[in-house]
Amino acid sequence: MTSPLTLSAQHLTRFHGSQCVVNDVSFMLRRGEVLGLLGHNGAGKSTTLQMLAGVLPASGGTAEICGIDLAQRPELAKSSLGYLPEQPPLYRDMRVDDYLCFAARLHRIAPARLAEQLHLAKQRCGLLECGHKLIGTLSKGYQQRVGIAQAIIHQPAVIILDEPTVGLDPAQIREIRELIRALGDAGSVILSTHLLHEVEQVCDRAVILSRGRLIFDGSIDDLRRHSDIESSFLRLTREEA
Amino acid sequence: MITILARRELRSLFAAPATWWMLALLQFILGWFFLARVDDYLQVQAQLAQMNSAPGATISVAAPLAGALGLLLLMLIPLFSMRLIAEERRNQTWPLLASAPIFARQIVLGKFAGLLAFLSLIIAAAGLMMLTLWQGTPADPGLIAANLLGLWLLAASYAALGLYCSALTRQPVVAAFSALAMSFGLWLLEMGNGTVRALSPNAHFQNLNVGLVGSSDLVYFALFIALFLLLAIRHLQAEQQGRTRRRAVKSSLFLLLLLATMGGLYSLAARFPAHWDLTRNALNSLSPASAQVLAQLEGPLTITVYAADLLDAEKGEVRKLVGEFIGLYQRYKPDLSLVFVDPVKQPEVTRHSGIRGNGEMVVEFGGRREHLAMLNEQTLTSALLRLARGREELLMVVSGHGERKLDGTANHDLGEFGKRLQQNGYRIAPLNLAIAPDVPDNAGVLVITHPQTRLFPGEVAKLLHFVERGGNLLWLLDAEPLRGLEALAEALGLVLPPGIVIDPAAQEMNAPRDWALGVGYPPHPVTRDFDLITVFPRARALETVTESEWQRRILVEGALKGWISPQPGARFDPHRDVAGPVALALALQRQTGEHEQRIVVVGSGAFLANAYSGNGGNLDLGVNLLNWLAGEERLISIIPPTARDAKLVFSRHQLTIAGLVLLVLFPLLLIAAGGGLWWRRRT
Repeated sequence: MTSPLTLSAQHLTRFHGSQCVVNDVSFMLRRGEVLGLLGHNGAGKSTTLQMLAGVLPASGGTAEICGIDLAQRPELAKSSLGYLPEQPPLYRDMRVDDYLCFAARLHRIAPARLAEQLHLAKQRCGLLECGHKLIGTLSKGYQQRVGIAQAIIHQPAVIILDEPTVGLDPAQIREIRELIRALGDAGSVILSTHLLHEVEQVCDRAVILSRGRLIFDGSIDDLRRHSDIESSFLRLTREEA
Repeated sequence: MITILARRELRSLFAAPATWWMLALLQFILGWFFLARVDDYLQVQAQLAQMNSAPGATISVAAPLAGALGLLLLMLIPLFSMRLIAEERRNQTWPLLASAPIFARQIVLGKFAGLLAFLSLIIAAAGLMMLTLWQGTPADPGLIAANLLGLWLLAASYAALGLYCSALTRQPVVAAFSALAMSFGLWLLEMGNGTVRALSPNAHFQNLNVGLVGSSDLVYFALFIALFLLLAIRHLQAEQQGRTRRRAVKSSLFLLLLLATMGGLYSLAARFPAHWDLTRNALNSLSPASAQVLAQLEGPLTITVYAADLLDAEKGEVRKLVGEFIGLYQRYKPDLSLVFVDPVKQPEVTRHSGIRGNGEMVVEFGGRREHLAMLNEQTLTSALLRLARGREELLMVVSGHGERKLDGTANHDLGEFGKRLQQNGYRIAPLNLAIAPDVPDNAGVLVITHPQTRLFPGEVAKLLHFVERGGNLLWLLDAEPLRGLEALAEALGLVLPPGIVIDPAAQEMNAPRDWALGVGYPPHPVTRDFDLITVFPRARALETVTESEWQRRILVEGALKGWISPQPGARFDPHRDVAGPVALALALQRQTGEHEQRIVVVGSGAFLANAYSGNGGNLDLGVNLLNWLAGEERLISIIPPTARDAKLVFSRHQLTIAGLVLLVLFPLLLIAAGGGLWWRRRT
């Protein structure tokens, strides 16, 4: 591959107390790629993403965003980063427009470009109709969209989405998946999920975590090669167990 | 970036219905407190007006209001500050900030600024309430400004503390309780002494509460705010970087270094204090006269106060009051030391010093001692003045002809004046010219009041000789025959037209028809900075011959619209009367060798009589006259300035409207605003 590296995790490790939650995980992400982070519940997916987003300090290892070390120059590395946590970080008492503007300003979007970026992000996430609504009054699906809009409004090089389709109805899930695909074409996306067919549909590559360890890193085709994806996922995780 | 964060914080505060309801409650409590104080003041101001240096409306209403708001802020701020960080963590909105390309210090400062902006609005609203005093009185703007500054600094301190507590936890309730406990604990430290007391924000606020801005108070607040903001920033940084043993050691070292630096900075500021008294009447400063006396005292000064220990609440209060009062002097003279002796625990020392009651004190300077039973600026400064002078000025009073006596208690005597003079370091001795061979040389000033019987020519000759030799003289004339003193008037070049001074201005103030008011004071050292009205009952006019070796200056001018009349008639009679203005007191000076001879003549002896000396500034003028005669013109007496905002006028109507607006309208509007938000949120 020739497209530039946007994210690189090297030997990422995280302890919660004495328990090792993420153990020596290394992988890379390139522009134009959508990477799926697969694993059972408690495999360390969210922790890994939190470390990549700079929300949680790593106990060991390094993470680089666009070649900038996240631990050394956090404010610089984070400027090319959009992050949607498992629970969207929404201020329920704010209007959608105000909230998105605030998120954009946090990422140093110039006031002159604010309206344009806000419109684009709302358009992509299907929020054009509800800019004046209070976030607290929106449905779960729309709140999720606002969460994604918040992560992409500054058009970052790396978008980190933690279980972006959880709790959505099938129609919404399809829309979001299309959006992620489109985002992956422009930048690079890393998303976590425990749904195999989601990975199959939207991702170019997959990384499988099991009990904090990386047990597979390859293209969807690699995963598919053995048999169908589901059985290879189960085989891989069982082997590890 | 800080403004962006601050603005969001402010918006989210105003988006919460609870905020509006809290504001409604606060507004109601403050409004009620304010109106209660105004009402109290309206009730007692008639009595206050009788007092010398009565407190004004601003210090009686606005300052307690600020104190009450300070206490309310202590309780309210934790409720607002708890949400700053802890609630973001609990609501899982924190990752938005944590993953944004911003520094921890920007988050902390932004949130602090947002909360402080909100609190500033509350304080500004209280300021507006204080400004309504202007409706009824010329309130003291400096005092209000100092109070608002104090409230703002206090609010900023509690906000910084609350922010730090909020950064420590993800439970807003824990954050609120820990902040409340800490700020209340710090508030309680105010009861302590010395260093313990200096740790309390409340102790520093109290200086601002009375209108005194001290550099050490400002430094304290700045350090307090900086400390907790820094701690909050460090905590968030550590959270983002992860905790290691090395970092833990480093951060505890940092904390120690920080505390040491801050302690050092504060003690430096406390060692070289600067004070700005913002009150209009300089309520927290010594009068220029006292400051001047202190400047003259070179070397250490000790004040020993015999007051019981703090254990006894009522007597302990004495120590606190004395401490505060002497603190004022210490600001001007740092080597003034204050010593407390407990009369119960050290009875021998106490008896040895001849102390009888609690609160008595002994002032020592340069080996000399002065005993004081009463403590106020007048008595203490007078004692210091006597100590500074080192010797007492001898005042001789001509007696033996039924003159007014300086130690008499009758209405026509000058006893009150004599007492004031003694307080100011004068020794008073009668002089019987029939016995004494001459006026003694050690007499600093000779006082002549109007004789009731005729002086013998020999006595008059001794007086003339005294004036000829260059003696200083105070002559209090009455509108009566001179009884032998005509020769003295002639020697001084005085012309005394018959009749008494009639002043319609006095009648306008319901004073007797034969009083003259002294309102004009041509520039002279005696009346410098003196602007009180003086009263001259049954005064005679003073004029001088045109050619004279004396330099003559009018000290007091009166009866601008009045006249001189042999009879106190109600109307001016152009055939009989002479129109004013009239000189009521004159100063005469001439050079005799090296020495400058000074003489003052006043056209009314009654002006210093016990019956009248309490009127206006009579006593003060009298003391000023003698100080000038004794060559002490720099040591004029202390005139407690009258508060310009002592008269508060609010009609029933105005009070009713204020009550409706403050207690009903504003709270209801705030409740409605909160209700509107709540309703919008539900739908």
